[in-house]
Amino acid sequence: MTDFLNKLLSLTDPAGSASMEVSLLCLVGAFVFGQVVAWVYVWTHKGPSYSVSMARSLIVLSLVVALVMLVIGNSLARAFGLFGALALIRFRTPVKDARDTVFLFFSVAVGIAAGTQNLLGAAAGTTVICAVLCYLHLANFGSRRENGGLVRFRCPSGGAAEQQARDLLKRACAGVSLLHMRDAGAELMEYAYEVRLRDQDHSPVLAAALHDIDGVQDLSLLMQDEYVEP
Amino acid sequence: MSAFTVPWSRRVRSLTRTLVPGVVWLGAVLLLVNLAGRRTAIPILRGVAEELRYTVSAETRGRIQRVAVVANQAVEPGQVVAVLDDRDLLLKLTTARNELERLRAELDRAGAVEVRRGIERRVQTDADLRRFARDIEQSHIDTLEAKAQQGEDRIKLQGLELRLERSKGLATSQLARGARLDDDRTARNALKARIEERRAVIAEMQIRLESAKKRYASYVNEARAPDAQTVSPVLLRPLEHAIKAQEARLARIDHEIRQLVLRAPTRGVVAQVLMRDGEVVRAGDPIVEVVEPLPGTVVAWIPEEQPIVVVAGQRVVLSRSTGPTIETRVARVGRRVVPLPRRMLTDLGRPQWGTQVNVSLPKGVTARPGEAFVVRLLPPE
Repeated sequence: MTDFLNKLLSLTDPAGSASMEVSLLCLVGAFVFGQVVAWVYVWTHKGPSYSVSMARSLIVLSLVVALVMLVIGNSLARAFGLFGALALIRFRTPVKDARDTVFLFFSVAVGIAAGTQNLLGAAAGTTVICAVLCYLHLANFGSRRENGGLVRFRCPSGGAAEQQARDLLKRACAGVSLLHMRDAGAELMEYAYEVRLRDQDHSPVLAAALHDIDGVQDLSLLMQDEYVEP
Repeated sequence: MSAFTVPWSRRVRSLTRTLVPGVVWLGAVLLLVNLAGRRTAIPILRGVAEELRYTVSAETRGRIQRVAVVANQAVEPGQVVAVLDDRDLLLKLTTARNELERLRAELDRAGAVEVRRGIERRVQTDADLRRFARDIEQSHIDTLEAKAQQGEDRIKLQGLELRLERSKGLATSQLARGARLDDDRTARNALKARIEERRAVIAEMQIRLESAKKRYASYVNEARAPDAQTVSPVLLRPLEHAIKAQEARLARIDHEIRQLVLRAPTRGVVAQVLMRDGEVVRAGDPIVEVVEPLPGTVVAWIPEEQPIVVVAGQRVVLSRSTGPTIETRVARVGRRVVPLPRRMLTDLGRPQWGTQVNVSLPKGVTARPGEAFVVRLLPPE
């Protein structure tokens, strides 16, 4: 099998070709180091602008770039061709999501590999990168808002109701964070908490428990489905 | 149980989803290490089949009289490929030969003179020897005569002794005169004195004879007659050396003439004819390039940045785009790091260096000149 693949490889343009072992080595290495980068990104990112798509794109992008370098090799002509293709796509196609950009880049790289008769590189790159994409999807890598939600309610300011509600949230949730407090008039305060439930089935129970607290009004619980997580 | 208790199944699923990325990553790390180890374990080089090229160069300065081959012509070992002008050297050769003949004639003449002198010396020596022998013989004869005379005188003396006795008797008996007694006594004394004198002469003659014999013997040893054909080597040695020197010069000129004929060193094909008839070349200027008809070597290169150690005799596996893999051995490893040929450059815009490795193709395996090969180095035995 290896001889056959290597013979197939030897028919390709030698300017940017590499053996099967080298291709796999490069792609696996890109995944290993890209994963580390993504982990650090997930761990160190603060603020609401966190995006699962970006975290996953970091890994896939490293693989796609590795595939591109395997295909281009030392060829200056191919490098400029890739640059031109990407520039054309960028200016003609509005891309808002980092993941979409990575997929576009991926398609271009695969097309260049096939066009330069580097079929082995195209096959190896496609297989490995698609496998990684599936793995990232199934493992839900990078998601930080699993069972996350937003709780809003009104209660008298400084009263026991607010304290009870806070205690309930801390007991029922894996994480609680006060987002804002607003004066709602009539000696009422509106509170907004970002919560992360231990289980997504706990949301009705939590809502009912909060509703049972004397003084809590206008309760709303907004659960953030991971499928809509940016 | 609290309403907010999470079931174990959900906990396990959550834990699994948390650990899966780590496990997958560790697996990728192991795969990476394995691939990297396999990559360095079997070094792979790139090479091309090259035919051996031989350059036929002028060995001496001169003008090309004739280039006997054309491009792409097949040649055999020893076939004449070019001839340089030899007129000057032929002239020198003739002159040197004439000089050699002259020296040889001079040697013969000197030898004849020496032979004649030798004969003359021999004749003189023989004459001297004969004279010496004759003198010795004469001395011997004279000695014998003196001894004979001495014998006669002794006999006479005995006679005179008897006569004297008789005279004494007669004188005593007064039968003879006293004067006769005196006469006899006087004759006896005189003869006696003569005998004594002759004895001394004979002794002296014998001494002289012995010394003459010794002189003759020593002369014979010293002047042992030289053979008429042998001459004194001392006088002829300079001529002999001159002849040897001239013969050496002749040999050198002959060798230079042979160098004017350039021959193909091996069987092959003329790749390039670099000079034309009538051109003047210096020693070392290439004239014709001959290449082997089929490559017998694959020349691979070890890039400078790869820490690969190759030894002569190491087993390798050659593979190419067509045909089965070939197992063979490394024939030679270069000692220097040199610039890579253009074909081996991975980046045409950047100079690269490497070490050359020659891999011999087994007999029966043919390859086209310039055909690319992948060389896999097997572990040393």
